[in-house]
Amino acid sequence: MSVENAPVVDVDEAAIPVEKKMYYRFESNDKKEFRVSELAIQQSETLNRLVEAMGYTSEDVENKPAIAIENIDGKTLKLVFQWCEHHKGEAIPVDDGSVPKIVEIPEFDAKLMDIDNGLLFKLIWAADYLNIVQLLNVSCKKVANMAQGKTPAQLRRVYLLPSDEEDEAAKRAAQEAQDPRAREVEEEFEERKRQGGNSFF
Amino acid sequence: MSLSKILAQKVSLLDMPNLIMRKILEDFGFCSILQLRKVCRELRHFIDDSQLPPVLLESLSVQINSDMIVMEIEIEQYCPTTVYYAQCKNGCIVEWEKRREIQRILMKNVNFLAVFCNDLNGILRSANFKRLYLPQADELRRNICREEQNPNETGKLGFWKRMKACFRKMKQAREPIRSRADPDEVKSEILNFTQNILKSRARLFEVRELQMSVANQNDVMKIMPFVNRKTLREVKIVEHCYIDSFNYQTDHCLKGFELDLILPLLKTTPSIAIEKFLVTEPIETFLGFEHSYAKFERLSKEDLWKVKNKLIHSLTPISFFFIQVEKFEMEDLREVFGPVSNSGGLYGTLWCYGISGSSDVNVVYMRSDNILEIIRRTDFGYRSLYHRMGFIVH
Repeated sequence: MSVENAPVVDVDEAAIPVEKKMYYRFESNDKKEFRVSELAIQQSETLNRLVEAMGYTSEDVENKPAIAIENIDGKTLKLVFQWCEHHKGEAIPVDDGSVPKIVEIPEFDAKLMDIDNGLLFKLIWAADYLNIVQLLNVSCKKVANMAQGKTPAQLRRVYLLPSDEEDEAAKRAAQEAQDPRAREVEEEFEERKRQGGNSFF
Repeated sequence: MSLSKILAQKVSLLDMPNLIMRKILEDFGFCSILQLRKVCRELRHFIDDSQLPPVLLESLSVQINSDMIVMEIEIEQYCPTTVYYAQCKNGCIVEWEKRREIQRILMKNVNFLAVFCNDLNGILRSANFKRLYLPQADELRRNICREEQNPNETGKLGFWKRMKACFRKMKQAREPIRSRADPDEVKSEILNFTQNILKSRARLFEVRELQMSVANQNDVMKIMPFVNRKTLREVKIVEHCYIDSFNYQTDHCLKGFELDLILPLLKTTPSIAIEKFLVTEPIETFLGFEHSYAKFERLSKEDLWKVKNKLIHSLTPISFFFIQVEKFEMEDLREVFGPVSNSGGLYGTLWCYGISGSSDVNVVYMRSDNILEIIRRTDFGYRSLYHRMGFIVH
């Protein structure tokens, strides 16, 4: 899809720019374009520094191509910008090093993060990449909360993790695919061990 | 794996960068971390290597026998969970109570000790405790002794009954308890294992009250160097198999206990108790603590004078001080402490000392079990009570 034909998503639908507010345009790696207010961008340290360094005027924002965010897909970026718009103007929490942090998940955030776990992990990745401190806090908390009262088998399903056996099998398969001799060497080693040989060499 | 590659496919918890993983794990509760360690090896290694700040839990107590271990963990106050690890013919049975229901799992072809050690590893790596009783053989041994001595009473011991039923159900012959490995060997193995866990922690292990049943001070030294001395308030050391000799009547065969290695580590610890051992250190050693309990083979008159001079007229309040000897000579006591304040009866023999400018009193009790107890009575009205009862207040 070309940039010109790409749909433009107004994340801050409630606040149509009546007054003179600057709206930046960003593009995800799957060519989806987003318009995000200047104030919302301040929630992301990475984007805030980027737009400051670019020094765009209102005309530049409209005339120049959208700022590309290569690493994040449209689905994830939409969630990120929705979060930023909702929390624009809020103070960015400072990490005081306390553990565990007392983090409350607001209703809006809880609804926003009511998504499949794979997408939630992508959201965390994106929050980390764009350095959005509070989004990272709430999303990490959400992931941690998901573990409460779960057995190891349930945790495996929730966090999309392999069991030790599956992990071993996958590693072996990968190793074999890389080096077909590996299996033979391993079998030879096992055989020698069975015969009572002390050293493989 | 690069970020764009990750984001292009399905991601799992393990694909998170280390810093984020750590951040997520910091929000996990203690129980969730323990469960998470069991999910897969990679995650277990990550948790162990990331050295998360430990949480402070109430208490952990471990009771050890040759083929069973009972662990009681109190994550929140007054809510203890008891977990039983027992060896059976083809594996290990783990039993615990969850929401008032008994949960039981059989883990085939594994040793009960290995299963317990795996759990202990997770616990001691990620938690500090207000109270740690390790290993505490007393209760279990008492049950076993009771079972062996009074086989008819076993029905009262719920766990034993359930375990036996369980073994029967699985058609497994249960060998007599004492024919298995030496419980002291199991205990020593657990102490060594605990030492290795504590050694591998990035931070010193924090515990306020440490109780250990040990054979000698070397056992204590396996744990003590890894304990944060600033938080340690109380150390109680008990002879490890005293329960076999149940009561004071058999105390005459008590072993000596050396403290030379431990004492330098206890400089900031206010309370010490050495039970069912005869201490070999001089009495002065114990006068420096706020609370102490020790048994001596004998105390000379000079020793009693030291006790009196240090404790009776001390302005800094002592809470209690117990010394026990084979037999106190009343003549010596009278010479040192003066005439007794009462003439026996309900209160035993005691000497009562008023503290100038205070309503507190220091009381020296001569107990019938040959324990000399020195205690500061700070409760309101004790001094006038003693006066009213006609006691001499020195």
